[in-house]
Amino acid sequence: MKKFLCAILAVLLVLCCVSFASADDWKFERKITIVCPWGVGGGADSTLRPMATLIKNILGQEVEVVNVTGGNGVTAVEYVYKQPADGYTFMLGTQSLFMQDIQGTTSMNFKEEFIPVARLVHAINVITASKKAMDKKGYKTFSEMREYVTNNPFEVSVGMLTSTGLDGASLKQALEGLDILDVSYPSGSEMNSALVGGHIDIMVTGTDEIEGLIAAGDIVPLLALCEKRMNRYPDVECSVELGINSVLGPARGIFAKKGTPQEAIDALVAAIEKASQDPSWQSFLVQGCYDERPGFAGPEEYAKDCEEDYKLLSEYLKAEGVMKKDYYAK
Amino acid sequence: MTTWELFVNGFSVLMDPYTFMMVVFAIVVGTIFGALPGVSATMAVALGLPFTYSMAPIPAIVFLVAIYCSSITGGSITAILFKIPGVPSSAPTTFDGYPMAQRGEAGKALGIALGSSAIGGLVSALAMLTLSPQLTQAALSFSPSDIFAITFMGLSILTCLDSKNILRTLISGLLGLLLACVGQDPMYAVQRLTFGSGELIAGLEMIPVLIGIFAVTEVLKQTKKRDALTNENGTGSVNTKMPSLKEWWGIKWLLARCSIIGTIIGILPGAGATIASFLCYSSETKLSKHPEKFGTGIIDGVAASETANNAATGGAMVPLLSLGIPGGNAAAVMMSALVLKGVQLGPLLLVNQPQYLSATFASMVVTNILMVIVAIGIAKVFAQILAVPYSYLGPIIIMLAIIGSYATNMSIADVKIMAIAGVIGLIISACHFNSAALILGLVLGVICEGNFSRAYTISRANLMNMFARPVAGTLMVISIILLLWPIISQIFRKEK
Repeated sequence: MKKFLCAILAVLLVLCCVSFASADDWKFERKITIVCPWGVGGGADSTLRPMATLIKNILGQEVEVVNVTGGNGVTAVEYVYKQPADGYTFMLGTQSLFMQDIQGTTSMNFKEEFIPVARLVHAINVITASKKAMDKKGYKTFSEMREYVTNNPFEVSVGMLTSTGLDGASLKQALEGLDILDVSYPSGSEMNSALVGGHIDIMVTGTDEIEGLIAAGDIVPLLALCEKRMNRYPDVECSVELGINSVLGPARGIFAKKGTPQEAIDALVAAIEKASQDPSWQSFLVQGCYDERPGFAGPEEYAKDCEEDYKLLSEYLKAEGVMKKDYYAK
Repeated sequence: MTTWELFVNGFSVLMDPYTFMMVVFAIVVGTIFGALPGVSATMAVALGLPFTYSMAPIPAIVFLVAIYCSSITGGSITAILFKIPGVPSSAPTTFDGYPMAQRGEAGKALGIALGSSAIGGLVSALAMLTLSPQLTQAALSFSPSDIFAITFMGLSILTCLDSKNILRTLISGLLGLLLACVGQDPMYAVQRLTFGSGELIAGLEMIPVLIGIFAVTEVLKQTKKRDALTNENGTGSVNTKMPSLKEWWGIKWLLARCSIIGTIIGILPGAGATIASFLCYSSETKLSKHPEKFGTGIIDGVAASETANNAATGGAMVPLLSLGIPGGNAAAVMMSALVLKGVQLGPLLLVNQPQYLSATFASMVVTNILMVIVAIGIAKVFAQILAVPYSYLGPIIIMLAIIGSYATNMSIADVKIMAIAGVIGLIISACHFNSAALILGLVLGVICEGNFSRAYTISRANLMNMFARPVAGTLMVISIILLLWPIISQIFRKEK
């Protein structure tokens, strides 16, 4: 009888373990940390914080955003890589991290050591022009600007954050074959004020930070780098309609270190998906100009997009001569 | 709205008891955060962010502005008492503040620091209220070549920083410039002087270097003194004798100059309080009748640095409110708080909702006055620590230095940088090189190089075109004269 009872108990215990391990039953038992590789108040941080609050309410566990900045995101990648893959540490990532990986600045292969969990937002990059400079040089649309550059090579200066970053990549694609002056800025605020002041002629950026300056007429959007015209700026040409093959825009998503329990990932994805439906998140998307492209994407779809971006950015960085890791070497 | 209406409107926001209480709370918290090494003003504002989630947009900005201003002031407390700059912009305060405290004049140094902080803050707040449109236009008209010329002028003071040791000072400054090159280059992201280390890609973080060169070096120096370690009574309590009215009157022009320069530097995106305090300290060294006394513990040095860094706070708010472009990192955090609340920042904000400007002004006025009282209280608590014998105090300072360095990026690499900087600081002082010049080179080098590269590209690699602008041209001529001044003056003396 004793043996029988023991056997039943053992079976029950095993069943308990199995059922605990199933996705539906994963329960976060302590604080979850999401590392943001960029500073407080920046675009990435401002996207992550409201989402963290919503996830916290859904999961009933504290969700802490930790900003580990520096090295164009590499410091954060290294930090998360050193943490245990126990389902309690995740990180925010964009294509900028892929570019660092391809350029060999991370100590590990980011592509292989991290798993895309879910995409939060997918923004559109816009080429904008300084009103002051436009008036002086006399172009009004992107096509006119292109013509001006053809006639006056190296007369137009273009602001970007780093030429080996995502902005640089999308800009080079859009302005391929044009003789322009590249000017790198360390922060968006310095670049925006240089554009308003007319010290540079055009720049590439997301529209969220400069909506007010566009409304006031100091900055004029010239070209949206996307498939169809933006609802917000219906008069502004888009790259695809002009036959320009440049639709790269920053996609911000959550990544987990390889080895993170699948149940934890599934539970987080479910929470993010639910949070994405929340009215406050929806209004955040409208406010941040993130509503022009589908935002949330689950693990499969996001992984597919990441793979495409990796391929595209590898080609770009190879052409720039800064590729160190070739994931697609034949 | 007329200026008077703005004035009344701003203070009516603060009349709300809840908002007022939150401002007082912000001042206390901000001063303490500022005094803690490693918590920069930006971090202090970021730590205050969660409190604003439940507030309306205007009280939120009022609250954050109070934290910002008081944290910049709080940084001077530890800079003077322990030679640990609580915030990077208080680093020049240590040059004269700490020697004063060592002489037993900590009360006077703190009095000057807090008073001149308040004056700088009030002048810039007033400038923000009355001259916002003009200041904005001025800020926008500064091209990369102008900003380069301003920072280059700051560097050209190197030859005047220590007239007896020109060569050593110059070498220290150039060493600082070399350290500023560590990491990716600002234009093409090429790695320099990283020796293959991933931890150096982002360049040297300012906070660990400052903590190392100032605090750690000081502890190492003290440990060489036998009596410092055996003295059971510590360095004693703080002499609370405050500066006299006569002393204040003696630095009136200095306060005016530094308030104006600080405000203007604060407006320029990418510059901010740290650059402002270094530039004002170095330019006052040049303008002073007794430049040789700078660095030995005079009130002029403390006042120059502290007036400028608080004046920069008002400056930083100008482009944020009138353009939606933050003038510095702390302002960028405030911007995110407003954006989260659905406020559309940009040139139309002040046209449609001028109460943002008036409330910010009122908050700065109240903060700058109240913080003097709060900061004196907090300084007295911190000063109690001075009564601890140095054999205990030294390790406590080292512990604070390690935590402060680690907290910046949660990176052990920063702690290593701090330790190395501490040893380098010791070597520099043993060989009579100048650590102030080294830090000046490091702080100004980054902004100097970036703007030079941008200006050079925009002017299509033509140096003459680059300096053809009136501001840049004039400043470059002055800078070259300043750089060569020691040589020119010697030639003149010989001829006589």
